Amino acid sequence: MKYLNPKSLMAVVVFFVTACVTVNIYFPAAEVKQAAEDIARDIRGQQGEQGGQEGSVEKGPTSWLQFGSQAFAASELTVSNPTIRQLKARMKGRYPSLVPFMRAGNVGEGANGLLVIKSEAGLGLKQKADLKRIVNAENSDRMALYRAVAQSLNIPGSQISRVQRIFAAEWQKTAPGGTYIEKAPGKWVRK
Amino acid sequence: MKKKTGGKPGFGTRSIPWRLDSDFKLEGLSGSRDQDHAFEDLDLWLNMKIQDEGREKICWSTTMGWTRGQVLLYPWFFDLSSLKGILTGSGFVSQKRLHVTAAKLDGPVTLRAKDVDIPLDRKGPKGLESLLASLETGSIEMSGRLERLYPVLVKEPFSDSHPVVNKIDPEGSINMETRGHVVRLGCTADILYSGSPLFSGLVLDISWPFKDESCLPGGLSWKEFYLQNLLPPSLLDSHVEVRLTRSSIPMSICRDRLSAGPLGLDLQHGRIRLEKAEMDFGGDSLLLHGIFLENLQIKRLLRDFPYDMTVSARDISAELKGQRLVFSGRIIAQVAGGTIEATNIWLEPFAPIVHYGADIAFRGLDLRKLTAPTSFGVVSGAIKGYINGLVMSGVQPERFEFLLENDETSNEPRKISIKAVENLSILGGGEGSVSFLGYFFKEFSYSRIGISCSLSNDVFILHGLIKKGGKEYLVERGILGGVNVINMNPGGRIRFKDMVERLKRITETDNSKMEVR
Repeated sequence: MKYLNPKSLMAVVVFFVTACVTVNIYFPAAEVKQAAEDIARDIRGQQGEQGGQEGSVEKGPTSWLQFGSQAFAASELTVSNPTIRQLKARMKGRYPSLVPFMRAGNVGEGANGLLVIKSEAGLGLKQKADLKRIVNAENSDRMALYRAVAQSLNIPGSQISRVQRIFAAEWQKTAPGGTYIEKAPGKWVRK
Repeated sequence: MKKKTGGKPGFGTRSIPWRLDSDFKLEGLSGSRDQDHAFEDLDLWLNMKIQDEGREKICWSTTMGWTRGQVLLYPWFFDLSSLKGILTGSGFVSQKRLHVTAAKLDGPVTLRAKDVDIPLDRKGPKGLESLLASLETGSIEMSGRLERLYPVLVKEPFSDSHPVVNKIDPEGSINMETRGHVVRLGCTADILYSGSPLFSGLVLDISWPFKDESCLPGGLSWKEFYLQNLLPPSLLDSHVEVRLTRSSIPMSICRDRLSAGPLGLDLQHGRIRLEKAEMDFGGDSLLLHGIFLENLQIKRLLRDFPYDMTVSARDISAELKGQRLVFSGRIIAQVAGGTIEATNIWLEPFAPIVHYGADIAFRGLDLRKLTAPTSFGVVSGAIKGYINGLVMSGVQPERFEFLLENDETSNEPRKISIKAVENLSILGGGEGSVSFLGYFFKEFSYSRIGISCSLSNDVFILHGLIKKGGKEYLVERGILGGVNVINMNPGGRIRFKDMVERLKRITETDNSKMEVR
């Protein structure tokens, strides 16, 4: 009778053990991307292809005996809550002050979804102070936004950097001409 | 006998006392240490007298003034054109110490320093520690006007990150003095909030023992406090006059922490009391002890609040955990013949968007008393239920799990008016047009009511709790007739914006006083 040698036996055991391990990793990339598109376009005033969807309702007949709701979300991918709305409103109000700095190449859109001061050339001290304050305030709101989006989509805190990277692509896409864009970590190009 | 003439022995030399008297006028001076510390276009004049006194002691005196320039000490920026000043001083340098015998600054602030030793040894303490160490033997007095200092030191640098500072305008004076191991800070001011008075005659007087373990008393007092001007104009009833029960808050200041209290707020129809607040200067710890809400009569306090509600709480405490202030204890409200109880209360006061929340349970609420003052339509019967995991963002709900069902401990008759049925159907997304039935019925009886609703990600999910024959009932009719309200959409999804629209439709159908935001 032929027996398995120890190495073969070990290989079989390892095969069966690993075959039983199921690793569930789910990251809702499509939802985050959709949220990033909606939010970036909303803040920067660029009409999205799916504009006007929010809040649309399909109303159906309801009798006094039938309390029926057909109010489905128009787009199931849209992420929103009061925190996100308030942050969006604040960032939208701040955006016009940022645009001149972005066009002039003073501020860049980082690959991590945050603004980076690229150059202070040509700025007086007052403008430098203003620029730094506005960038810090914007980045603080962006981090709060990423946390709120992640919480909405049940994304764990350890995955926030992925949310940031997806948002970075949208900020870069919608940034005005002249803005520095960090295509990959440390590799900047001017839009 | 030989006479020592000074100088180094063995070389036969003699040190020559020297003296320097110079005048400088510098224009357009610029420089920087790093991106956060720089000056530009600085015009200044300087007279400097230096004299070697021998024995490694050099005396100095100086007068310096500036008329123009910009200075960045991020987050602060100073335009010196509007902050002109003259600094005079004298002293000596000896044994790696700069001794300031006397110094005076006349400018945006007035500053007097006397007998201050500043170590020049790089190995010694640095920053604030070095400054405080230098004060041990001498004294510094500083005074200035708040209306001049606040915009430069607070409003401009922090308005982007903390917009509330834009609404505050203080008028008054601030002064600080050091004696030995104690820094004393005093302030007299009138404070405006959004242009309206908040405090008048405010006096702050605290002493900080920066080196000692002992604590020193201090306090905050005022002549008038106008809480109404801090709250939204339509919130408090116009007859309500808010008074602080004391016109001062005692404080105790230690080297690394501060405690204040008690503080009482008399609202005429109830009182709010805080026994003590404690915080450390690192900002890591904040404790509130003994929070009491004493018989707050909400209907009398809030404009247009439709219910007789009494709110009370006893001896609640709170602790800052991370960004969250977590309260232990419960707030109880008596309303509509029943009780509402809030537990697990928390607040994130320093988050970019202020959040707060709680778990709420209610029982024995008489629906007739709840619905009669509103335009929703009258429903009778007692209910119980909960709102778990409530998270509020500003004034809007962000998340919750809500459940409502009959409270079987009550024998109240269970009726629902036709208007309430209409409005329930509007809330569910229907047209709510069942008014023709009003010719025949004014109200229907029902046997059970059961509704659950959750909010997350701006989507409400509404369900009926009574499930029979594959149907989901929110309201079930009685044995001898009545009305069934059936949820035909088991998904039950309603967008936040749609729900607000529906609430508007409901409130617009009547002269309701309910406001929908």
